[in-house]
Amino acid sequence: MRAGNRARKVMLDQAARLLLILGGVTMCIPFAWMVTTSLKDDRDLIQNMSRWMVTLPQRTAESTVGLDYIFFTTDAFSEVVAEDFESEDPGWRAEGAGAARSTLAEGLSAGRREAAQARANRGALAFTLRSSEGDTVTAGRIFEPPLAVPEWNGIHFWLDGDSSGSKLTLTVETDRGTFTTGRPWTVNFGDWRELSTTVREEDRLGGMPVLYGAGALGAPVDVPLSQPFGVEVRSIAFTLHRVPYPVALWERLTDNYRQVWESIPLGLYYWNTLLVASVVAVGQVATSSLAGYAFARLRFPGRDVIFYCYLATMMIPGHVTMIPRFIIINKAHLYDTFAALVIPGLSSTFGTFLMRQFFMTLPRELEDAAIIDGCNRLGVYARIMLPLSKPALATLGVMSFIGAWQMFLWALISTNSVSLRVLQVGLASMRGDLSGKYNLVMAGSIIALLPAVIIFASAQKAFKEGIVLTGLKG
Amino acid sequence: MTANGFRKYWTCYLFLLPNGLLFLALTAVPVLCSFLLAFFDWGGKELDLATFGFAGLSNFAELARTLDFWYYLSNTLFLMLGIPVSIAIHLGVALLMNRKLKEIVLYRTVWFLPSVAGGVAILLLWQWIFYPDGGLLNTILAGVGVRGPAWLQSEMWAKPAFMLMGWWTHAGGMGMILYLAALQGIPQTYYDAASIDGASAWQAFWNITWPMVSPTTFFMFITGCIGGFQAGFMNAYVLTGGGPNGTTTTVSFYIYQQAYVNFRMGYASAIAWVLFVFVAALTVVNWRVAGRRVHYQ
Amino acid sequence: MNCAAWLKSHLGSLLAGGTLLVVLAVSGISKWETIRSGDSGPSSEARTVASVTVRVLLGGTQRQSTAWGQLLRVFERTHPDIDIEFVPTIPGQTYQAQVQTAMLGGHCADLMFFENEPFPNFAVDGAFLDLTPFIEREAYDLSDFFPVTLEEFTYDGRLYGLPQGGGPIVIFYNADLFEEFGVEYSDDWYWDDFVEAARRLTVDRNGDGRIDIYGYQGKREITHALIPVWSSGGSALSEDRRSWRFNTPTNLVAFTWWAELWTKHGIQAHPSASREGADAGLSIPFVEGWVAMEESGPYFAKYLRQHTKFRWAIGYHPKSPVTGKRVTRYYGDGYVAWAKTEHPEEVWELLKFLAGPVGMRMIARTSRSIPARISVARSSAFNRADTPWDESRLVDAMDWARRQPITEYFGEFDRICTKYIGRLFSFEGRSLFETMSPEEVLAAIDLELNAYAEGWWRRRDRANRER
Repeated sequence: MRAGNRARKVMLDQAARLLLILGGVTMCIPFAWMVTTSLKDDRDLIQNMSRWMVTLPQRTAESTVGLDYIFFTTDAFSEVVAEDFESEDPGWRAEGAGAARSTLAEGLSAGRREAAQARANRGALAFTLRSSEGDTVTAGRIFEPPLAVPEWNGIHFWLDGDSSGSKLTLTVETDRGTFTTGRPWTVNFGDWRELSTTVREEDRLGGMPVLYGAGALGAPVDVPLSQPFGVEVRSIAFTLHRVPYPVALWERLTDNYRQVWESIPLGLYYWNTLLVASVVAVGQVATSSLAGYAFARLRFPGRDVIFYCYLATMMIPGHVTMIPRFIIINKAHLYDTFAALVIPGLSSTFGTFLMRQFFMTLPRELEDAAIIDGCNRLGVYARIMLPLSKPALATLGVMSFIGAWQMFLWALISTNSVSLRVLQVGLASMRGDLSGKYNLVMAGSIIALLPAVIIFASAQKAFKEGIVLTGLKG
Repeated sequence: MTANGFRKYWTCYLFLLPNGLLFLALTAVPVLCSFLLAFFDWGGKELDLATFGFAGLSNFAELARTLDFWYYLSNTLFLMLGIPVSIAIHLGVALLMNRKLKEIVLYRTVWFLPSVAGGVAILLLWQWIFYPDGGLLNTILAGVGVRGPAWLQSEMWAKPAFMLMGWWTHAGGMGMILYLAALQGIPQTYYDAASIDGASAWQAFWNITWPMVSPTTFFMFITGCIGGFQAGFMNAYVLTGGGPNGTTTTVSFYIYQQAYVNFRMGYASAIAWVLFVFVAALTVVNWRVAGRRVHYQ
Repeated sequence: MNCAAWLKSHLGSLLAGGTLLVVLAVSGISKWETIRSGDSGPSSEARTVASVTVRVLLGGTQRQSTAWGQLLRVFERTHPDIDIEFVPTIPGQTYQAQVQTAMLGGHCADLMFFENEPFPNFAVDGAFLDLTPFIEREAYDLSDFFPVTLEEFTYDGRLYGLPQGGGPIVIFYNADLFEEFGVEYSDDWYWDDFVEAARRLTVDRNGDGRIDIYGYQGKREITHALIPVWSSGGSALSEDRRSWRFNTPTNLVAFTWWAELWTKHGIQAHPSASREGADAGLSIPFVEGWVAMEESGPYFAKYLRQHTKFRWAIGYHPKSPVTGKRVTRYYGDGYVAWAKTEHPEEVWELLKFLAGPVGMRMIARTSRSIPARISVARSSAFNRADTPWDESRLVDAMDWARRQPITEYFGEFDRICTKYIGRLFSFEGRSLFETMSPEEVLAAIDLELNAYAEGWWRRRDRANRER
């Protein structure tokens, strides 16, 4: 008989395993899509979204970058066009191993030639690296006489690259010194892309570079607001670096993640969200289990009425109670504080209901025995009920943690400072900036959910052990 | 209550205190405020008493006349039909997850992922799955030779699509976790006794497992119904904007629109309280009917 | 128990604890750095002269955009006694809710960017600062603005905001497709010519029985349906703005023509087959060359420049055979000030700057919308030589651009109209609703919209009496 049971158990186990794997695969396919989307380039996005393809950099013998125009913007926001490119303009020179200057049409692949023809006729600049990885070419121009750009505050240019993953830096020499880009751009798209630089570090938008002033030690120097950035430009130079293919590959794949990490202070959001979620989880577990025990086992006047009130408030949609709650928090001078995020979550009618139902399933005999032994109610609760309810408490803890982790609307209206922002709001801010760039949204979401998942996986221990009720039923 | 009585019960109230105070300040009072608001007109932009216009019962009258509300209510009820299926799925998956397999933690984590992955990302995912041309689901169906419907852009299939989405996303989610916790609480001795008596797997399930988890089932059914009435907001908000011809607008989304797009707080509160009447009625019925079948210790 | 076994049995907790520590450490460091570098806008440095801080809400995108940062720094340089503080906000559908709760809580920003559609609802509640006294006091010259842009921010005859800009709806067409099928685009088209051209561009290219290229793609919104209606001389909202009259003979003819673009001529893809692009409101089909003409606004041009390889150009809606004229819709956004701001004078200075030539030129640079100032729109700041499309076409369209009927209850207006417009089409399978003819649609819209408007005005009149 025993052997038969064991065989049946094994068969059931295998069947369960099969189902779990099948289901797990269906759970994973969409996540695979999430991951591939998060790796996509902007160009991949507008094509058919069901494609799994991710554009990878190509190993090409040549790397070409084209510039359509470049202009400087001034404080009056009138533009000083630095260059009306002419293909044969001797002012522009290209230097470096394997460097060559070409007209745009020449430098591009056949497929894009037609589209670039108009630009080539207008005279765009292209410079080509015809050499192996690791080389650098510079195309630059010295302005004689210097270009007058009264109080210029930015540079604006249209750029076209190929898919080789090369990097570009820009150096500008003015009467106030030489400025160079803090971080090279990866020129890995095959379409024209507008880029601009500015003078302040905070003005970053997902990968757009900034110009720093090169100080004595080559360290970035913030240009003080009171001084104009310069009045004339003496020379500009673009430098193209050909990076080794593995580096190009790595950068291409992690580009979105790095953009997300840099464009919003994710670390700060993590910290806030972790703190809020932990406090809320602990608080909910504590208050709910206390109240749940009271509703389940204690008898006092008004118990049922109060409980039904709890239940009734669960039936009102949160949208209409949000404004009164907001007003209360505001009147208590708690607006834009950590307390505002946490306090509404410390007590939960849902959690109370859950714990009450759970406590009602525990046998009374345990409590009766303890009371006969002279334990007071608090002792019964602490020494007997709590240890028995580990799975339920863990469940409630996880639920409230996850709920607080995903809190959005309330966090949005009850706090304002960036220093108090939580993850969902932070991700939404990024989403709005980059209006629908799914690749970055997915990258952000993956970054956001990873710690929660790891913590959940590790919290499985509480579920691994069942409750062993000894000495009750024979 | 006499002083003596109070001394007798003060420990009970102490248990209730932390939860109760917060509940009072941050839940009960806002709920009362929303009740009062249902009798006024308010634009929600100023806390000036002059901006509150007394409307009496006219908000409710307008609501009764608005056919759209009743249609949205029917949408909500239709979506709630998926609740029993969802509960069954949770229990089924929990039974699977309760097996003592070595890599069970892996399964639990993978299945749990969708429910915690952060609403909007999952919803975008499903938008892709449901694309009429080239979405995952229709591609699979085309492979089998069936021409898939337009799902989220089809009046008939938008709501079933949402139900499908809900079942998948939460299959390994918190409901399953609750059931798992409950299953863990069933002593193995019961099953051993049953197998000694020669009971089949189905009999063991029906006579041991099902009654022992009935408190959880009851809980999930009650909260499912309560939550079901208030559900459907995120889907409509992110995916369909209310659906083709309003087929995916639920009451929750309608309330949001009235409160935060039309800025009619009073009217939105009136809708919420009419909804409350329905939910409360259903809950009472559920409690009586199902409550009798729950097996407590 | 040896080490390996202990490790194995506590793997879970170790993993959890380790992750927690790593995340805390990384986020702690990052948090410290962020706080150190400051949650800053242009005013992160200590300013000894600053006396007034103006809080500015420009929408999340604009806050972090380099162009806005530059612009406001210029303002701070020229107005050393005014500090600007960016109020962080999340753009998107919740923007109005954030503004509303901020007003409710008493901590709204002094100056805000605001869209045209929710504007009347807030203006009627007195949420915005009335700019008319300021304008009259210094005889501020409004003649350089396109009149229609000012109308967007006028309520009850008083001006509550200064416009930023926006655009007329025009038609973008795929010049390569036109050339391939031998169709010539013309500015003098009438309705029939337009439909004929679109028909010739609706083609089954590879002969598989399914249409591969559609001639036209319009938007199924009531504001776009109004374009042919206006062109025919019709209108929907009454003079006193209290009632609607969609179902008139003039309107019906125009509306029927619009509806038949979908239902009869087959030149557009069925609504259920549409697919949105990665960027909200932008269409993959046109970008990928499956649609020959698409109606959209100026923001589309910049997107097309980046993502298309074919030649395209800007065209106009066809003229109505009834009047021989064309009218298009204008949409625009602007800047408003909170009625309860504590620094009205400083906010007015900032408003003038943002709506002045310098501010407008910055808008022109972003190329997403037409600047509201005529002089800037016609200058080379907007009409750039280096862009492949002709911006002057967009500016010319402003001559016949008209703003949509902005109502105080725009959300409801939109909901009702969208609901009934959807009934024009029969969806796949058994449709839950009867398909309605254009006349029935207009009649139904009139019925429901007037009932709502009547209730709305009754409540408003009652509130005004009680005040």
